[in-house]
Amino acid sequence: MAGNSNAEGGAGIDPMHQFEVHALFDLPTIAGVDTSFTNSSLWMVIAVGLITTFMVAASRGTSLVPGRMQMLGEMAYGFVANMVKENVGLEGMKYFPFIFSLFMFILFCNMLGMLPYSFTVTSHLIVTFALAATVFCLVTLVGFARHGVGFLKLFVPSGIPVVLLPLLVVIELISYLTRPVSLSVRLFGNMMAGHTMLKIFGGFVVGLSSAGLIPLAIAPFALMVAFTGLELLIAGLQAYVFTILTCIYLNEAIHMDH
Amino acid sequence: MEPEDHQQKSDRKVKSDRLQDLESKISESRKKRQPVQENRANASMLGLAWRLTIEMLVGIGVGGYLGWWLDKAFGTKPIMMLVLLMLGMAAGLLNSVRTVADMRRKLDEQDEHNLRPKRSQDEE
Repeated sequence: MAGNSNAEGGAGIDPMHQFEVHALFDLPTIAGVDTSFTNSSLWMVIAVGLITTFMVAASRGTSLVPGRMQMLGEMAYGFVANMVKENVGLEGMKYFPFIFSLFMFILFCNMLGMLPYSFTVTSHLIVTFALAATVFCLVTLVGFARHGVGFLKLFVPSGIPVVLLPLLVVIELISYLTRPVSLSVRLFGNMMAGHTMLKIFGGFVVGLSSAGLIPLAIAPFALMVAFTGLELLIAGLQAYVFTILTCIYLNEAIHMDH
Repeated sequence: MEPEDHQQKSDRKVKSDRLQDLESKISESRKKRQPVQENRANASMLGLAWRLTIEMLVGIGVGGYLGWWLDKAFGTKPIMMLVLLMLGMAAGLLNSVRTVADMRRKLDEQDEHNLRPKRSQDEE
């Protein structure tokens, strides 16, 4: 995709073109859902494949003195395990597989998006919303499974006059419902904004240098290099933020300390 | 005995010199590290601004959508949407206040954590 827009050259670069989803090969529509395999699906499969390869390579031939791959695998495990233990406590380790998968998937999707000619899965709101909605459903189910109807106390703030209570309960309820939306919008917004910005600066560089103004292209090029570094940081940071907020929500559902 | 003693002394001297060297190297690299921490603080402030903006906008959005949906379900055209827009704004504000309070607590903890090693360095 990036190749297509670059081929148009110069000012014709459309910064949003990189986000276009298109079917790689068509599959039938089942119950009103188009099941075609798209470029988005392809990059999700690549991410899952890479994570699986990475973890299998890391856990094969384990030894007391870890090799490089084992070291990386243990670092990833330790990072997420510490996050869960610190934010949820030891009971949270029950949900570690889910949280670890979530973290690795988002991290790999974000990082793969930094490769030229790749597609950033997490720059689509529906993908991040699906992830956030899964988290939301899980947290709500855990809350009700653990506390039964008592989980509804989460929406009743303590130490509030009875007159104000109905109003505040509704506000708390809306605030609870905003969680999956803000969680998904944050990840999506960060990824999309960053990639759009990179594309625009890339367009400046290509446009200026193809117009023969190479000295003028140096500044946007330098800026683009800097932004690429920043984007790498954001790709990691947003995976971390998504995961840690999941942990915080889970903690609230398990311990209900509001 | 005497030459041996002498040698031991010089050995010790070399050792303490090397230790001092190491110490100065460590403190130097620590100084170099300081700006990185500052950058991180700035980055987190930017992240905080992002979060607050999103939190408030999302509150309004979710409130509006819920109101629109309830209006459609009960046929109370503008009322529910207006009310829930307001409540959504309140929820967004509540969320952002909570985010800030959380951040504040974390920063305080971090400050305490950062101050401790500095104090012990001063004592040395």
